[in-house]
Amino acid sequence: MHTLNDDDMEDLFRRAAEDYPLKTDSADWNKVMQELHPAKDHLPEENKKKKDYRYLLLMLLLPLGFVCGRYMGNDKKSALIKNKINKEVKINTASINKKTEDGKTGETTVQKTNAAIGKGTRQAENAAGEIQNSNDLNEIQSGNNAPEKTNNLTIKYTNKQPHVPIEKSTSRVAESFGQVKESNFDRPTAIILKGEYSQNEKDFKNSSKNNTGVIYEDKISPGLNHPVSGGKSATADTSKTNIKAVTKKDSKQKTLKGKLYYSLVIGPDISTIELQKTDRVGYSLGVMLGYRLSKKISVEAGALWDRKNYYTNGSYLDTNRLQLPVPLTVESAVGYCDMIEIPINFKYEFLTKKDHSWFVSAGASSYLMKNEYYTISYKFNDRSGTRGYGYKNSSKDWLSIINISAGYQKTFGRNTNISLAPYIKVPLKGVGIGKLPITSTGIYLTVSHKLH
Amino acid sequence: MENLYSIIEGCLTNDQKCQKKLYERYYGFALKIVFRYIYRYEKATDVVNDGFVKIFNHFKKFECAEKEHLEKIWMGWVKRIMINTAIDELRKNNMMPEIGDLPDYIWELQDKSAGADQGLLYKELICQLKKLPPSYNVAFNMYVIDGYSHGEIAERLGISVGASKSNLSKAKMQLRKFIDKDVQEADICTL
Repeated sequence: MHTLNDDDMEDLFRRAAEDYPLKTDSADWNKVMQELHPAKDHLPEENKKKKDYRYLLLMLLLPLGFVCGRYMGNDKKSALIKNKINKEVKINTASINKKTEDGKTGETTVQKTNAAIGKGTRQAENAAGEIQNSNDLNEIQSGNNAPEKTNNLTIKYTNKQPHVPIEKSTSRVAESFGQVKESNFDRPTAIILKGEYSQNEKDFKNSSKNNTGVIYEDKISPGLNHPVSGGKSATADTSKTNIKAVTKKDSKQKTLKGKLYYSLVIGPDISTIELQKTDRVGYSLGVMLGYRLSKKISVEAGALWDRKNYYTNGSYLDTNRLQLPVPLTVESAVGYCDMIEIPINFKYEFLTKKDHSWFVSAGASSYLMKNEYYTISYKFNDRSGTRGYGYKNSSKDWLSIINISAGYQKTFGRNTNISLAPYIKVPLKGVGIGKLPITSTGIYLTVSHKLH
Repeated sequence: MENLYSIIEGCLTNDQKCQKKLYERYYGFALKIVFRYIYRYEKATDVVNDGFVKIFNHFKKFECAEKEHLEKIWMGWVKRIMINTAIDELRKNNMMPEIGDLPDYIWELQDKSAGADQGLLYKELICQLKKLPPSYNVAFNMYVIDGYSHGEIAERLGISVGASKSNLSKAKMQLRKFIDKDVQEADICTL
């Protein structure tokens, strides 16, 4: 066995120090120049740090979307409805014309009306068409406001189309929600009211006295314009069918867009490892995109930027990937991580009211670690100390976290919701370079806006 | 290659082009010195940059009486400043040891020539040197490789001469363990 003496060993190390194969292409003159001449901006254009404005652009989209939805979408919608109504009016007029050309007066058959019939009673004194038979009228009469006998309700027609005076709605519902559209034709027109159904029903009862037809837009099912219909009359059915046919087509066109929404999310984060003591509060912020599967169920996915702070006893920290020197014993660690979280959640709404609802949400998240930093308290060769060590792009843990939350959301305007939801995120396995089982809790403040 | 003398003359007048040329020419040399003292590669590059900032800020202190030995004297001056900057960095962190393995990307790829084995050996030796506690590492580097005396080491580190000798002895003991183990394994392989 050969051994080196001291001199040989030293000589070996001197030669190693001169010729060891280290990469030396990391020179960065710009950094040195900045230190030497800090007053001048010496950075060439291509080396200047590009600021990330992506999140700022997202913030700009929110009011833009709100403005477009408020001022552009409605006009299109109402124009579409108006066109459809006018088409129906033409059809009705054509059929009425055919009848009146015969010069007959008296009872004629009501084929269609231009108005949707609300649920409940209605009095069809000035209907756009004719009453089919007296029995139908009796069926739709309410108790207290029963019209006169059918035979007295015949309508005399001449070649001129019957004019149905429309009372401009003075109802609270119409004023607060409605768009009162009156056609220029000498024909019955419709008042479009939007609002809660029960209010509309009251309003309908009031307006029915003057025989104004009402089309309801259900606020709870946004984007869908459909009449709330009921009753037993044939006239109600036919008009219901017509309006349904019109609005169904509209709603189909708008279904996809009306069900999509985006959200901005922000909130504090408190993380712990196996319920040990917590460290400082972190945060979460990002964007989500949601799709409404039904009235109550939605699916959401997005991207959040999380900062989590935590403490752990050394026994929970997996040091295999940290590559610590063998004699090093980790006693404890305080760490933080910056990550991109990709959640996928299902949301269920309940106790839904006119402008607010409660919800629960559950799903799974993936953590893509961008930065991790640990300050490790260790023992090394009978000496204690602390040392910090950082890692970049250290791990990707797909669908490793279960999310559960419950909250309350309130609607502002037509398309915007604001919600508060406490959450808890439970790990299915250890995450990050140290494979720590990080449990997080906090509260999300979310602003959502429907896409049109 | 441009004459070193003219570059140094340009640096004396704060000519940025000359400063840049000097920096790029001697960056590798400085990094290899600093990397023996500073564990992490990224930190070592920062220390080298700090060292060059000091050099250019105090360039007027550089003197060379013998023009024919200009490069030797210049490299000696750079070496001294880089070592001082590295020790300042270590003392700022209370001579705490660093942890973690060294990534592969910091090493030059070795081809399959005869020198490759030697390169690997040198790499292993330097890695073992870096794994020593900072106080042992500095003592070994300064005394054995960079030629400082124990008195100079003691003064620089703020320790006694005896402590410097003790650190050196312990450093040699740990390195010898590694070398003897390595030689033993080599002997076993050749049997």
